[in-house]
Amino acid sequence: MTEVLKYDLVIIGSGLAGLRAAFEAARVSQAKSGLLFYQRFTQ
Amino acid sequence: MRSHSVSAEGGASAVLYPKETGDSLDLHAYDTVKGSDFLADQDAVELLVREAPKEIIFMDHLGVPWSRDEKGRILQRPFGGMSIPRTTFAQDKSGFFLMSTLYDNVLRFDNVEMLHEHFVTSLLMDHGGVFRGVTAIDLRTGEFKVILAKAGIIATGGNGRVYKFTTMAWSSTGDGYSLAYRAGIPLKDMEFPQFHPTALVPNGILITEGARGGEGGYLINKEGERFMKRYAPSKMELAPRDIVSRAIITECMEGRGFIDEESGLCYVLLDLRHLGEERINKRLPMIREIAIKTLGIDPVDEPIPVRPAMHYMMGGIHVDLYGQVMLDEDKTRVPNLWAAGEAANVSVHGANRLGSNSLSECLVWGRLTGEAAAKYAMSAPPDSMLEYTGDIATKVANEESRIFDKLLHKEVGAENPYSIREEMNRTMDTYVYVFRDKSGLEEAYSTIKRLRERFPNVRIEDKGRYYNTNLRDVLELDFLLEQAELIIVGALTRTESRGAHYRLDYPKRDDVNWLKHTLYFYTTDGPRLSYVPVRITRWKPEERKY
Repeated sequence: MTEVLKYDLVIIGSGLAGLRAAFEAARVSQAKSGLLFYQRFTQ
Repeated sequence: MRSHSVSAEGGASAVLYPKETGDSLDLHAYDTVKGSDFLADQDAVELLVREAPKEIIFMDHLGVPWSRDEKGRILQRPFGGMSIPRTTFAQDKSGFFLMSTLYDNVLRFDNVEMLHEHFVTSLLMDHGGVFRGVTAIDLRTGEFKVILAKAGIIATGGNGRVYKFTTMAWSSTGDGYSLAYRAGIPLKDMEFPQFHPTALVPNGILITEGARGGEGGYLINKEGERFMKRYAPSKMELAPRDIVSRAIITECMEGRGFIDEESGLCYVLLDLRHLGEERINKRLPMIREIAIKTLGIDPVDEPIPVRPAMHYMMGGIHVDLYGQVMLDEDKTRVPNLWAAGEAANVSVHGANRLGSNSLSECLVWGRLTGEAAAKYAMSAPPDSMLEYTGDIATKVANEESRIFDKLLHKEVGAENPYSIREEMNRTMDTYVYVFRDKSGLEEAYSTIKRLRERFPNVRIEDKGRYYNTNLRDVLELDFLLEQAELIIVGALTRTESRGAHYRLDYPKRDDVNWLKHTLYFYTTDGPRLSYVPVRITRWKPEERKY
């Protein structure tokens, strides 16, 4: 069974623009945001 | 926290002290438009320069330890193509400090949930052109997930790993470009990757523009000459990146470069010795550490070897002035989707980005899109947008089958994905670099087409679910091959030289035919190109001299 997650806002990416967007979205509203991180530790 | 932003060294541009320095928003805008070789949309540039100072102060209040003078005032240093020192910096670790500060502060909010180690595989769009969410793999478990949302922001960064010699992180595979493109969203100006002049040879690690520009390092050829006097006599090492990159490669082509024995790469030297140990330690500590640790060269005592490397994608997802994603040339927006940062093309950089404008862009459009998307999500859409039924469920099932049945659990496959990637990298480094021409681009195009034909036959050795890096690499390779083709098609079609796109067979800028943006629309037969005009508000195109 595929897991289904639900948010008001999803931000794809955890760089400077994504984090700044997440901060502002959280600051100006009660929107529940999902911030999608993808870290890469290997070549 | 491993996005490529964390590697940003130089700083963020903004007009902070107009009275003391003579700087102005108009001057910052003009420098940016001129640096872009007049391809930037000037209303976007005006928005950038107007909002950037507020972001610098905001980040200061949030806790970024900007470098300061003895009176405690925030310092600024010169960068290439800027008339006045306006690059705000935190030593040579500006990105690291910005990211750390923002991350710490985002943790304060209970309504932000961080989904670490999730790899997005597709955007879910309904038939009405409305964004509904994404599919993703939780790399830690291999679980396939559906993430539905009332609004979305794509902030996935650039695609430097199309090339082998790049300053960009291994994660810079441009996934967001392909996610959008395949969902029917046009990309813009993808023929304009930026080559940063000073990447360390042979490993490609960035040596900040702050070293040659802001702090006054010299570029030296094999004859011991500061060769920039021939290419940009007034700006010298402080010329914009496209001009310095072409100068370095010209020196190499004319036999005045050095050759690295290990890689065979030609390079010139960046000499920082005259700055002295104290200044290097204070302003460029990471550069010194990188050179010592990776090459065994201490820039206090010896010059360091550098050459241009793929560093930034000026192109990106086609968005309007405020970062809202477009579905066609200029009429239809996706009502609930935005893009920001390097993933987006709001067109402030045009054909050549000036150093330190990208961090400012990330901050300004991060804020604008975050605010707009959150307000949209809280005001307009009904909860039915979050229903997992019908067409969306079918798309999810198809995507799961594509990844797990057709790639991961495929029984046979003769092609090694890492060999394909190596050949793609070599092709791009050779033919789609600082200088281009028709025959080289055609050679590159046919090679990438062959590689894309081989891709469906790739072999994934690791059949497991838990942190399957083999599968992830193959998914990224699929994105990278697509973007390599787009870069080449755009470069072949644009028969002029502008900014970072230099055609040896068309060495002049051609405003009559090419003062316009290229749009790339997905079709099963390859990209369909279309064009939109450059938005010019105040600065008419002129000859670009430094």
